Amino acid sequence: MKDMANAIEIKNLVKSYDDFTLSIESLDIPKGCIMGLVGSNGAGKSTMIKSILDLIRTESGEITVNGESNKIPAVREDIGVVFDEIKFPQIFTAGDVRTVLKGVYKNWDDALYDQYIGQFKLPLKKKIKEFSRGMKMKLSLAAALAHHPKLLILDEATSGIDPVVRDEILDIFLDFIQDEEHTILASSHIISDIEKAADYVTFINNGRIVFCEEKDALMEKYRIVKCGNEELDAINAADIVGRRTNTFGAELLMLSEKVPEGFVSAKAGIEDIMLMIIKNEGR
Amino acid sequence: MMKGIITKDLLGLRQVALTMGLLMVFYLFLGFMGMNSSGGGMGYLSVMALVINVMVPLSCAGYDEQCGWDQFGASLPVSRKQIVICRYIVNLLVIAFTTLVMLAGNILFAAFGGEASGIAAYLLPIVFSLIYIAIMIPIIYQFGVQKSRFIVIAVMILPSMLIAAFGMLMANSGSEDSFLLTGIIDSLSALSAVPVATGVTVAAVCFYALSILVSIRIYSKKNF
Repeated sequence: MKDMANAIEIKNLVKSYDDFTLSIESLDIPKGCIMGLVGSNGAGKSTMIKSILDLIRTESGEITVNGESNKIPAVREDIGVVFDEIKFPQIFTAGDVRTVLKGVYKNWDDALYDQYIGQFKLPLKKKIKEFSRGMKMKLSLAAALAHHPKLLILDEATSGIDPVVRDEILDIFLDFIQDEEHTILASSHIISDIEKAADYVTFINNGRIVFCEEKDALMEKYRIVKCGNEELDAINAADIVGRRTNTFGAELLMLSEKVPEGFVSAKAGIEDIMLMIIKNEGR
Repeated sequence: MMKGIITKDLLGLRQVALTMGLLMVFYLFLGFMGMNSSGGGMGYLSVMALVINVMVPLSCAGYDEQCGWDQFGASLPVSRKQIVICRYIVNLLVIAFTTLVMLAGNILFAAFGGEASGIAAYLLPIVFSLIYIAIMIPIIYQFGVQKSRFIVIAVMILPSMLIAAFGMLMANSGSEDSFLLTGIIDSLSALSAVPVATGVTVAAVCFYALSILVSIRIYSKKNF
């Protein structure tokens, strides 16, 4: 019996390419949260999302979505997906998208779709090829939400979009997540979006999960210690999670409880944590 | 659920609507001009039907590839099997449409004193289209439109050469018409071979059905 408290459960997932392997031993994404998926290009974020959506054939692993195997097409009735680009032919209009998806989803809601189209100020009869990137993204989002999904998956959906539109989209996410049965899994390069909206953060590097933690706990867990070169010797090297050095000294990423007394430390942002860990793993 | 996928393909056909329309006008004109020749104007309409029937699946796949639809389609609550079946249904709908255009053209030619054509004139493009499509779609699914372009051209040239050879053979054995497809139509009509025509049609339909199975197998293994 699967844990129905989780929107997504991944066990022993392995997907290999010629030069890269995604390997996830275990990952649970609880219902009712926004899970931010971060990592550098090629780290495995999209591969993980594609695996969840059953878009790629994996070597091994079991994935469940809302308690059901992701291999069952009907499971996707409850999933809304927004990719980095709109995937409809360029000659389509927002009206065409409605006609098509109405014939696909059992729970398609014309009124809700029209509400989003109105809210986003999108024209119904204009061809997609004449849309700006922001408009295309809003259309993708309207299409992803109009069948009342329980899980919204976004793969780099906010990249290349100006901050005003990103903020507008983040508001939609926060509205969507008001229902505790709703969950969002969003991969993004834009860490500020994740910092603003996510409840949990999963960090992937080189195809492996480095951590999956509650955002607030994560930001409490690490500190940035700034010190001069001479002070570096006083710190146990094993306690340093990551570092950024310059001519005058270094910025060290350390677990909060490992920060030595007398050292000045500051709150670590997700970007600091991510970059310093990547740098450290690359050593 | 399949309704939405079929609708998407049909709406997507607007991208080739102008080309299809021009082809129809062009061949209807040629057919009208040649309706009093041996075989009537139906030879031209048969070529029109064949060209459109073969062009559509290639165009559909090309546009899908261009906009990344395959990835989005696979994320919808439809199985890959259903997606493949939809593509084959759309092609059947296109064949039905071009057959109706041929029928309309035949009626038009007859109304203007042309020679009305028999069932072979309709059957031939349908049979050839079914075989063409049955070969093309699995190749496109396997290699993608860009990579399979040359294979598809080869697949199209080879049967054309066979048709040419068959047409010339038939023409030499009695038919005076040098126009290949018309020659074949004449020859088939002359044979009045209902069992042969039925056999060929059934074989083409079976080949089409077999192609669906092959395509499902290929498409199910694809990574998007």
